[in-house]
Amino acid sequence: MPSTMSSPHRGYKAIHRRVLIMLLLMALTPLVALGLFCMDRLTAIYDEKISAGLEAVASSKHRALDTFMGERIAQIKTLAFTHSYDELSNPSRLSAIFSVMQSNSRSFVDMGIIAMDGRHVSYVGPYDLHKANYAETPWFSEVLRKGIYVSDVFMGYRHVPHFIIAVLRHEGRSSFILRATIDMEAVDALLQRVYSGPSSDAFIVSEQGILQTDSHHNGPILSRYPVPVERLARNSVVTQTQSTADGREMLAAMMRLNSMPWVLVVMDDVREGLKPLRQLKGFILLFTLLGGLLTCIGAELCTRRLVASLEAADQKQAHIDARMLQSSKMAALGKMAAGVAHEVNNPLMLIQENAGWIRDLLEDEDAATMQNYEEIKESTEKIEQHVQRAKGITQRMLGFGRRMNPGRTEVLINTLAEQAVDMLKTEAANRSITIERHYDPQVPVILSDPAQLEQVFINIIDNAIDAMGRDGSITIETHAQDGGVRISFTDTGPGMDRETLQRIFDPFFTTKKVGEGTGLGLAICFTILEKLGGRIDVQSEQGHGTSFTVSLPAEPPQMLPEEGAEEQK
Amino acid sequence: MRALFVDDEVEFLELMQKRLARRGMDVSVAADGQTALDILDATAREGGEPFQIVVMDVRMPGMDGLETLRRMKEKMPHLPVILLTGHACMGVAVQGLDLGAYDYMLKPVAISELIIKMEEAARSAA
Repeated sequence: MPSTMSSPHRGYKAIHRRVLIMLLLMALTPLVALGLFCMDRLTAIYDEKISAGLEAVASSKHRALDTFMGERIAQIKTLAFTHSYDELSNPSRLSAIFSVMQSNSRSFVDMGIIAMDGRHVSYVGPYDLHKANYAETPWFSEVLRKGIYVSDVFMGYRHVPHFIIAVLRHEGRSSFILRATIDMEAVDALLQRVYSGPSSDAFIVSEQGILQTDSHHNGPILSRYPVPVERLARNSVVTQTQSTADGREMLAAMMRLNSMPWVLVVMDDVREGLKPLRQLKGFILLFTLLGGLLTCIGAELCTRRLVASLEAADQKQAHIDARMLQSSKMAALGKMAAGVAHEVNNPLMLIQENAGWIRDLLEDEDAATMQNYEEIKESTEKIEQHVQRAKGITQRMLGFGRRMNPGRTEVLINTLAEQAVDMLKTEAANRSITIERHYDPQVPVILSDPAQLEQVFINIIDNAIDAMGRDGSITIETHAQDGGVRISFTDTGPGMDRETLQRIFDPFFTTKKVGEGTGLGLAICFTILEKLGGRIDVQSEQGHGTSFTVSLPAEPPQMLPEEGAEEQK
Repeated sequence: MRALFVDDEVEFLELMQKRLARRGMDVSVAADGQTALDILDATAREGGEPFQIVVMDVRMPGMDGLETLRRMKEKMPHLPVILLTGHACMGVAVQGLDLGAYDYMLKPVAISELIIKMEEAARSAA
């Protein structure tokens, strides 16, 4: 990766994670809460609605059944008490009465008169029960004890589920029992007529927990089905959920009949009833998930953009900081350099003049007679040579530290770059280095200081030639940029390591051999460009060359008054 | 040519005096601005041979070169003055030229160059 004057590292991943978590928490919490609240409320409303529906059905069926049973009991009671034993024990008379009853309702299967010893005195019905004796049956003793008795469903002699209504009548000194059988089919039909849903169930169960009718979900008649009798008050509905053998969740509404010791149970599949709710819940879940997903994606994208712009801003700031640091370093070193140069110039002058004075004095001597004449002369000349060298350095130092208003002349950057190339093309050619130029003809004319700019360009190209040594190429490109211009110088030299790169614009920093470079060239370029309102950037990769980019504004900034005052000191 | 050198480096003054004397110049020296002004005054008052050129440092303790230059020019506006300093500052140079200095030279300067400049300046005033 190419290195540049770089920015400090910050934990962007940690920032990204924290921001994302915060955004998600803030966005998802209300979403999930709303979803859960809607689900909960919907469930409650649906539960209420389903219970109410089932209770209404149970209630209406309860009325119908009670009416049916009450009517049947009343019919038998009326018959027993309005007809004499003689009438009823007469089979043809009993048959006639039964026919009249059958014409109104076919719910009675048969009817008979039973004497106190349990024998059938007369019987009308489809079964051969004329000789049956009920003395030993449980219901017989019950009717003798209570006077009127309605049995639970049982199979009896006929092996068909039925129940009986028996009424004891005392007539004078004798007594008899009128007994009628009601076919459970009639009750079943009533249950089915009143309520029939796709997976609903309606049945009757005795208080002892024995099914009195078939149940779709709880088994055939006479199976066990426990009911919470203690909770069942008259005319009130109790609902409870129940799982069936096949794993279905059912809601059961139970009501105690007024006319019989029986409990009516109406059941419905909860899932069936909850289908629309489940669909609605599904939609809510889907929308919540979709919303959550969109929120996550949105939060991630937002966070990425946020962190990216933060990183960009940080990098920009780091770049500005680095440049400001470099600028202040330059300013401080510039002042110091000028001070040092001044202090050194005076002794240099003295050294030079002393050497000159020796040379003057030597003129008075006879070269032939004076021992070491030539040696002394040669040494003074060398002193003067080295003073000139030192003078060159101090003048560059003074130039670096010098503050002055930049010139404001119209500059065509392509022409200026070409002039700089002209100065160095022979040197480059001698070292088999080609200089490629890609000048953008659209670059605008800018106001700047051509002499100083030329110095900058020559410095950069000269450095590139030195860095490559032999064989290579320098590519110079110009571009228009924000009303100003950008010029890049890219070489195919060895590149620079990170440490060199960070110090490249520092005054007196050089990678050249002692005596070959002062380390002021690029520092001077930096200060010149700063004064011209431009900048110089460097990018380098070891083994892949170096690129210097000079950016210049359309015109240089006006120097501030205090900077002018500084000049006077 | 009669010249006055003004500099706070006494050793420099001595060397210049000796070296320029060998080249046929009559060089007087002053170690500060006030002394230089006094010498010029005394010469004018006593009717001695007038100085044709002044070579002066800018940074000096007490009255600096620019102030001395301003006062010299008040009295002898035609006397050419060359500023010779180790301190290169365009602002000072421009200020000196504005005050009427003939030129501005940066130390260390080769004696041959200095003589050429002094002769130029003397000719321009003549």
